[in-house]
Amino acid sequence: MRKERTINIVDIDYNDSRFDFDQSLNATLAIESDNHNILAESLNSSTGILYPILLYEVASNHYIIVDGFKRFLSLKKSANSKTVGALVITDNYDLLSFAKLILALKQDSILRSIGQKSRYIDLLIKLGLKRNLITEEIFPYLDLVPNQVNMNELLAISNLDTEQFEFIDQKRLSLRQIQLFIRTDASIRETLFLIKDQLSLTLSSMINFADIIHDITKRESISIDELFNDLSISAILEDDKMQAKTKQSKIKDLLIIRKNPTISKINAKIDQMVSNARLNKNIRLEWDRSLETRNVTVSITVSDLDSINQCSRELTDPKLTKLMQELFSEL
Amino acid sequence: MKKVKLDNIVIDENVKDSQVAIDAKQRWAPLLTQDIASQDYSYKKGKRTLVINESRGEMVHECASASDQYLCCNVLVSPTVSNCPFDCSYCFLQDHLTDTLLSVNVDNDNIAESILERTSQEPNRLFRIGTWVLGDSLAIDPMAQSVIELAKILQARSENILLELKTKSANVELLLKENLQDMLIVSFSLNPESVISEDEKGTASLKERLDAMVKVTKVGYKIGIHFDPIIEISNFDNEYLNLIDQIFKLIKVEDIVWISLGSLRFSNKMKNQISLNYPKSKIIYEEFVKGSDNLLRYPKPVRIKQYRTVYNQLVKQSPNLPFIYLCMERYDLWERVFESKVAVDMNEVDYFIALSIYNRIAKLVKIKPERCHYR
Repeated sequence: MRKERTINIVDIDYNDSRFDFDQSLNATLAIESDNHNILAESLNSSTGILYPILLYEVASNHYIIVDGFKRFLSLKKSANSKTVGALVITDNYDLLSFAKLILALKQDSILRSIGQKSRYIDLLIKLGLKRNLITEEIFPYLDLVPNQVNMNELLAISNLDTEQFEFIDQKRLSLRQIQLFIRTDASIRETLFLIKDQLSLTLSSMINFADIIHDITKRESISIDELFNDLSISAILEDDKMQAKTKQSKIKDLLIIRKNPTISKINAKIDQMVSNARLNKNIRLEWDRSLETRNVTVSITVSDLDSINQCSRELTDPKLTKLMQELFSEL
Repeated sequence: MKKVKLDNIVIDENVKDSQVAIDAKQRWAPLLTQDIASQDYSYKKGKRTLVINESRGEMVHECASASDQYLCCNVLVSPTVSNCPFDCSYCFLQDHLTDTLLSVNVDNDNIAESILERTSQEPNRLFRIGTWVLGDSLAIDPMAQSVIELAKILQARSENILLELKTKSANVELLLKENLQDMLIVSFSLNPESVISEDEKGTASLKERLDAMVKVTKVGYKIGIHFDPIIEISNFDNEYLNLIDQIFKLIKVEDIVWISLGSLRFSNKMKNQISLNYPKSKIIYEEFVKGSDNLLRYPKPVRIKQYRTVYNQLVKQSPNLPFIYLCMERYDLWERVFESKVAVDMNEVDYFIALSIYNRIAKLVKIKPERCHYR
């Protein structure tokens, strides 16, 4: 099953960070010189390599590293070889072979820790996006108990309709983004896909919207339609005079107020207090908008040396003192 | 309380002759296995395999919640158990444990030695040592049995230790047979029944916990009460006020040595875990802010309202309340809740708790606490 191939080093693109397969893929190229020498020495003894690295063929003669980034790098740095022994995953590679391959590569290290398991399941989910490896069958070959968490994600990805699937696939989402998106209800994803052009939503803003809407609808046990009705969102969507970005920002504000009513209300109250105080324009007041700390920063812009005396008077202005007292009572 | 169901029991070779292991062998013979490697390590199934184990690593340390930004009670903890058979949706263990099997460390001589090594350095200080840091102290009999053994060893060898057994169970029968009243505080984590039934699955009902509190106080144990986590629910005021009324109808205030209040908090990462492990729970969808310890909490005005509601109701119950403190809360929030500066740091909180215990029942604290020893 393990067919080792010899691949030209120049065909391996180790800078392709679209696929963060190997934990060390994004590591800097700096390797401790001692480690480097030891590794390189091992790599070049007898067979020339300890065991083959795992590559994924993204295009003809264009490979990225799935496993063995450091081994590859050491070999490359040693400059003793222009080729590397590798197992190559292609789109033709069947599921069983792939699963066994991963297992064979990792058989020396027992996948006991949750961290290790997650990493390999993450890898599978990512490969699954590309290669339709989404199936429960993968788990036994990995010697893993199917985990409801990851199974749900795998199944949710496989159940996405073609448009959504391709959209996610094209955007090269991070696993975290995929998870966030998949965990929201299908109705939320569908609605956001319908209005994404009207609001000029990027994928990341769509994920952000989905997350907020998900929390509100869950908390209030309502549907996205009911939420949108409550907030009169259709009126904003249908306003032909309003630009897409403005619509997006208005809707986001409405959603955030609904999601965080206490914080929004108190910050709005403080904003109003600051506005009513009519401080000079060169004085700026900032506070911790999460309301967790009582840190308030008062800053003053000095435009020229002559105005310094004026500034100090402004900082001791009773108006400012009164405002600070009011502000602290809210924080 | 639903009976805890175990699927397997693994006994570590090094502790096979311990009393806990011998009793477990007799009681659960069909469940015994030596095959630890093939156990199901997933979060929910892992807790159905009990491992009777010997301790590894540091067996007494500061509570992990201690932080510069937050004022805490300075309790020491001893991880005598790991994981918990109950299914509280907010439990931090679901994001914390890498070994998910339910385990109890039974090499109590070694554990006691570690504790004594630490506490003997400050003989004039009272050390509260919680055995609940990685699980419920009394959830199942082997846990209760083991912690009782530990308490007996410490009772014979120390004068400045109180073990705190914190529980959401009503499993106190084993304690009732012992005379460890000067060594143990049994503390109960309490919430309104609506929270228990929704988010503390498998634990004892409120009635069962209250009954257990009555049982232990009747035989002379002192108890601690933890309103933790306080959860924002509809009808919050009534639910928590009723809870407090129910407690004080049954329990004499003199039998309570401390009361703590702690609002719900969890890491951002836990939010995902909770939604996946407990999809029906709604606790994660409330309004939260991230604190400087990276934990999500309700916004401060909400927390102040919660604490004030509970505190005001407590104050109405008796003029003779024990020391009341907040768990993992900001200094300024303590002042807002209690309307005065309570303590300058964790050591002072620790001292006040020791004093509170001493003032209620001096025999629990052999040496009168003095502030200078709490530094």
